[in-house]
Amino acid sequence: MTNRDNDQSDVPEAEDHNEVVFSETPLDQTHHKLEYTGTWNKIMALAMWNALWTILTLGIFRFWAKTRVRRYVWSHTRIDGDGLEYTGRGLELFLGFVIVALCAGPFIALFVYARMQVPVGNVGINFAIDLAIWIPLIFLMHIAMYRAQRYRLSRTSWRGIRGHLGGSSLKYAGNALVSLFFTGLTLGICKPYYDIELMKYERNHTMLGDAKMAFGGMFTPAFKKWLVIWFILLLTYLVTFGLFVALVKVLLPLAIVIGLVGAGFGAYQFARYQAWFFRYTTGETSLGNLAFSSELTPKKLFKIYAVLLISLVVLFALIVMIFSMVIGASIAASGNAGPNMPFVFAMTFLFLVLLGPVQQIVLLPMFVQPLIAAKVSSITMTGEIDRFTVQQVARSEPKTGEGLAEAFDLGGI
Amino acid sequence: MAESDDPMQGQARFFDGLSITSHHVAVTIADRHLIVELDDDRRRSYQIDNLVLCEKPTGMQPVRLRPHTDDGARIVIDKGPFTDTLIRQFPKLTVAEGSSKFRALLIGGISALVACIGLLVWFGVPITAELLSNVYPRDSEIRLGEIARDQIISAFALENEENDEEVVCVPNADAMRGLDQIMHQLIKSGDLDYTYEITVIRSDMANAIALPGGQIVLFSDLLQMATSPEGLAGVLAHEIGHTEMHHGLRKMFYGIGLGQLIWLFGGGLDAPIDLLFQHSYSRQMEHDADLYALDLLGKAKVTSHDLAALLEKMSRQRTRNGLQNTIPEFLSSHPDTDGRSALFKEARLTGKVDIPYADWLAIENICRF
Repeated sequence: MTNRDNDQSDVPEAEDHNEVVFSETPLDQTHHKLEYTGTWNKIMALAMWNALWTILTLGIFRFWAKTRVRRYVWSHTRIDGDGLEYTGRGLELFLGFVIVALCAGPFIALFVYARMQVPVGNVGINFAIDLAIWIPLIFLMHIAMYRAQRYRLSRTSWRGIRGHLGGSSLKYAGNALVSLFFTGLTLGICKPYYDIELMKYERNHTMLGDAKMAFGGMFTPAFKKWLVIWFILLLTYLVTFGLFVALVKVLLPLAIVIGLVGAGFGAYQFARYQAWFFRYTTGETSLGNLAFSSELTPKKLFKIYAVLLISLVVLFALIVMIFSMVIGASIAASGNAGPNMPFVFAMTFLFLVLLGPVQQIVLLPMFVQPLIAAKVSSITMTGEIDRFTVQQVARSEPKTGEGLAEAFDLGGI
Repeated sequence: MAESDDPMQGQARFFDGLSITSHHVAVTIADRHLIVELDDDRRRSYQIDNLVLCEKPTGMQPVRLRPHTDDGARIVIDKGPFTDTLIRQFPKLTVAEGSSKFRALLIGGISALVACIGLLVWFGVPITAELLSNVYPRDSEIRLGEIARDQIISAFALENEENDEEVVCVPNADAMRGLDQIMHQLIKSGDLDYTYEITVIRSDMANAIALPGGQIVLFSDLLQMATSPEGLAGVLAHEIGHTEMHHGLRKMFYGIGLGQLIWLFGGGLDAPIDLLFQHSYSRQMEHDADLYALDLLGKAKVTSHDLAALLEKMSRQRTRNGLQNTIPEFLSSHPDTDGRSALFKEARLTGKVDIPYADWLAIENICRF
C-alpha cells in the first residue's frame, strides 16, 4: 500500500542505531480504531475562559490559550487506548513570537518605504514591488508553517515517546514556491501537485521516536480526482451564475434558491474531494510497521461545514440584534431622534473588540473540534502494535515555538 | 496484581521514556513521594512536588503524570480511590504552567508587558516618529507630498466620475496673484523651511490638508465659506504650521509603528484601538499647528479674529448637518472647535492682508467658473 521512497538523507546518523524492533514471527494483522473523546461543552468552556483572558490581557494570553486547547485536543486523541500528549508551553510560543516580532521591524519598514516611493499610476513598478514582496513573503510563510509543525511535533508525545520533524524548512518552502507557481499557471488545476508534494516532504521527515513515517502518495491519482471535481465545480458555478443572473430580476426567490442550491452542491463536491484526499493520503501513510486507513465520508465533512455556516450566521444575526436593541434603547432613553453618539461609538468599539474572541468560542466547538473528531475517528491503524517497539531518540529540539507562524497568523490551534 | 484497599496504594501503567512498552506496576504514596514498584524488586521514587499532570483529569480519563523535567517517563493511573487520594492530598499537583505560583507570575508578567507596551505607545513610538521625520531626506519628503497630492486628486476624480467638471480648479490670474500675496505676507514673516504649492480641489467639504514637503490642498467649499482673505490666511498659517513641524511625516511613521505594534501584540486584533491613540496624537498636532498659526499671524500682522469666525461658521454648518457634538472629542482627530475658536478670538491680533477686493473675489470663486 505504501511506497517507501522517502528521502531521509538528513536524518542524523546516530538515530540509525535504534531501528524499530519488529517481531520475527509473521505479523498478526490487527486493527485499531483511533478515537477522539473530547466533548463540545468542555471545549466551549475552555474557549470561553480563553476568550475572557485574551480580552483582559489585550491579546497576549493567546499563547497560553492555544497551549490549553492543544493540551485538551491532544489528550483526547487516543491511539490504542492512550491519549497523545502535548508538552509545549505558552511561554515558549510567546518567546518565539517576541523574537520574530523584533526581527520583523526592519522588513516592515523596508516594505513601507518601497511602497511610499512609487508614483501614482505606475502599474509596472507597483507590480514589480508586489512581486518582490509577495515571493519572499510566501516563501517565509511556508518556512513558518514547517517550523511550526516541527515545534508541535517536538512537543507531541505518545506513551512518553516524542515526535520529531527532520528535513529542511528551506527545501519545503522551495517546493511550495515551485508547486504554487504551477498551480497558479494552470488556474488551480495542478493544486494536487502542491498538496501532495508538501505532504510527501513533511511526512517522509516525520518520526515518532525512532519510527519513521513514510508517505507513498502520488500526484496522478490526486490529479485525476481533482480534475473531475474541478470541472464539476466550474460547470456548477457557471450554470448557477447564469440562471441566477437570468432570474434575479424576474423571480428573485427562485434565483436565491438556485444560488443556494448551486453553492451547496459546489461545497458538497469540494467536500467530496477533501474526504477522498484525506482517505487517500492516510492510506498512503505508514509509521514503522503500522499502516493507516480512513473511512472519512464527504457527508460528514459537508455536515460540519453546514453547521459552521449556520452557527456563524446565527451568531452574526444575534450580535446585530443585540446591537440594534441596545441602540434602540439608547434612542428611547434620550428621547431624541438621533442616538447618543458617544454610546454608539463605545458599543461599536466593544463589538469589534469582542468579535474575534466570540468567533473563537463558536469555531472551536462547532467546527475545529468536530473536524478533528471526524478525521481522527475515521482512521484505523493496522499492524501488531504490541510487537512494535519504538525507542526514544535524544535530539536537540526547538527551544521556542512558532514565532514566525504566529506573526503570519498561521498558528492554527 | 490484586487491587489493594489501601487508598495510598494503587496500580498503574508505567512507561520508562525509552520505549512505548507498558509496564504494569504498583504505586504507593509515601512521605510526599510516589514510589513505582518495577519488576525484579526495582523501584523508582518520584518526589510528588516534582511531578506534573500531563493534562487536567476529566471524566473517567486516566490520570497521567510525568516528571517536571521531562525524561519521557509516564505514570498512567486509572481513575479510582488512589487517584482521588493523590489529588486530594496534593492539591498543588497541576499541569505545566498551571500552578498558582506560575499564574501569579503570568499575570504579573503580562501586566508588566502591557505597561511596557503602553510606555512604548505613549513615548517610544512618538519619539521614534519624530526622530525619523527629522532625518528623512528632504527630496523624498517633497516627492512623497507630490505622490500623496496626486493620490488625493485621483480619489476625488474617481468620486466625481459622473460629473464632467475638472476636479482640480486652476486659479485665474487674479486668484493666483491674490494667493501669492497672502502666502508672501506669511512667508516673509516667518523663517520657513519649505517652498509651498497650493492645489484647489472641487469639493463640498470645507477643509484643507497639509501634505509633506510643502503641498497644501484647499477644498473649494472652504474658499466659499471664508468671508475674508484674513480667514484664509489663518487657515494657510495653520497648514504651514503642520508642514514646518513635519506633522505629515510624523503622523505617518507614528501610524505605521503603532499599527504594527498593536497588530503584533494583539494577535491580529481587528479592533481599531490604534485609532484612539492616533487621534490623541493628531489632536495634539492640531493644537500645536494652531499655536504656530497664531505666532505666524502675529508676525505677519494679520488678525486671527477672522479665522475664529471661520471656525465658528464651519461649526454652525456641522450643526445644521446634524453632525455637531456627535463625535466625542476623544474619538476625534481635531480638538473641540469651540476651544479652538476661543483661542484665536482671545489672541486679539489685528492687521489685514493687503490684496485687492477683485483678487479676493477671484479666490473665493476659483471653482465656480
